[in-house]
Amino acid sequence: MNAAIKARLLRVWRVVRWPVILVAIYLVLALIFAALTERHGLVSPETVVSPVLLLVAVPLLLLRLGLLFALPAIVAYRLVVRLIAPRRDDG
Amino acid sequence: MIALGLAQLCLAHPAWKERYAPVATRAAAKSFLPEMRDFGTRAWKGEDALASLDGPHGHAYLAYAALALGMARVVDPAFPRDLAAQHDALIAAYERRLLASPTGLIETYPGEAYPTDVAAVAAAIAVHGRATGADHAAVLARWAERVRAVQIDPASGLVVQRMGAADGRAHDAPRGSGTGLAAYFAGFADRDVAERLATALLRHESTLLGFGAIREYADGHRGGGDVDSGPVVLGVSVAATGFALAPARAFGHRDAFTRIYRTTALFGLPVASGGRVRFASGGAIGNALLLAFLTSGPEVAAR
Repeated sequence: MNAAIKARLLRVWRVVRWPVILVAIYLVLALIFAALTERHGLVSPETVVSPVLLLVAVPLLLLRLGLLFALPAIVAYRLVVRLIAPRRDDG
Repeated sequence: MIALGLAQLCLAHPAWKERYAPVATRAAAKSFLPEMRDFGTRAWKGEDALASLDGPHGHAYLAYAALALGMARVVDPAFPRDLAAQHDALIAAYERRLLASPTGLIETYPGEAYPTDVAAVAAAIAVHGRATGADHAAVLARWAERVRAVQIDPASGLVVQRMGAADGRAHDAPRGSGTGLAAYFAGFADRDVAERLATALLRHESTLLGFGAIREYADGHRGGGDVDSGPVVLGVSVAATGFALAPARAFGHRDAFTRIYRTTALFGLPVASGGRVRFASGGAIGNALLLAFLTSGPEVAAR
């Protein structure tokens, strides 16, 4: 891989790394949450919610809200900025 | 609630009857086991609901199981005879108690009546009529009249969550969770009452960005979450929102149903695997409830 391609891939990775990392964390948490809730849910009418379930559920729900609502807006913003901003090599 | 959901599916899709009707019967029979009503027996100081059918105490909590049995009886031609006899006796006791009540309320626990539980009693009586051909029109008409006169808060249109069975005095506020579930049950017994409750419930919908949720307390009332409502966040409750799916679907409030379902899917975290979908946040009980509400429709409503 030549240096130009490597630099280009690195630039793309810098743009997408946080969304990719957050989506990966979300998917892992979703899998754990699904396994933990086979019988006892988070919001079903049971009096005690286990701390472990809460520990997974809170970041999972926050991430879900973030990925569904904030991420598309941020990605759209960054794309538009990239499209309309003058390139460095334009002089 | 699993029995109700499966029976509703059988009514909506008769081809599935062979597969799901026996499962509905098994689920309903399980809900009728003595250990499933331990909490009620303890509350009545050891008096078992089925051992005291000639007595005056309401034991309205058992109506949920009675309704499940009734729906299973409607769809399952092989419904066990011994269970049917117990079901008949319980419905007869409920009918007698409801006709004797000046408020149209019968107790769930000593001194405490829940209009929602009594709506389940009415639903159980109505569905029993559908399963057996028995005429329960008089008791159902009286129940519907008493709901309109005594149990609905005139200002909000919501039912009061807890009341005195004998005097009809409010022990709690008019609330969305009780009204949502009562609207679902009333759909089996009296379409006018059900529609009235559904309309009031959906007037308490809060919306944001295409998502909908139901406020737990009527205007002018405040309170926190409890075992009936689940968590109450920013005034809206998990239970009232989930329960509203059933009347919204049954009465064709498509836009409200869509908004409320979006919220359910957002926080319910649906998980699909092996051709099945479950809501991870709901657990076993939440999923059983959602099965019943998401399959509720005009095909089960009283005509």
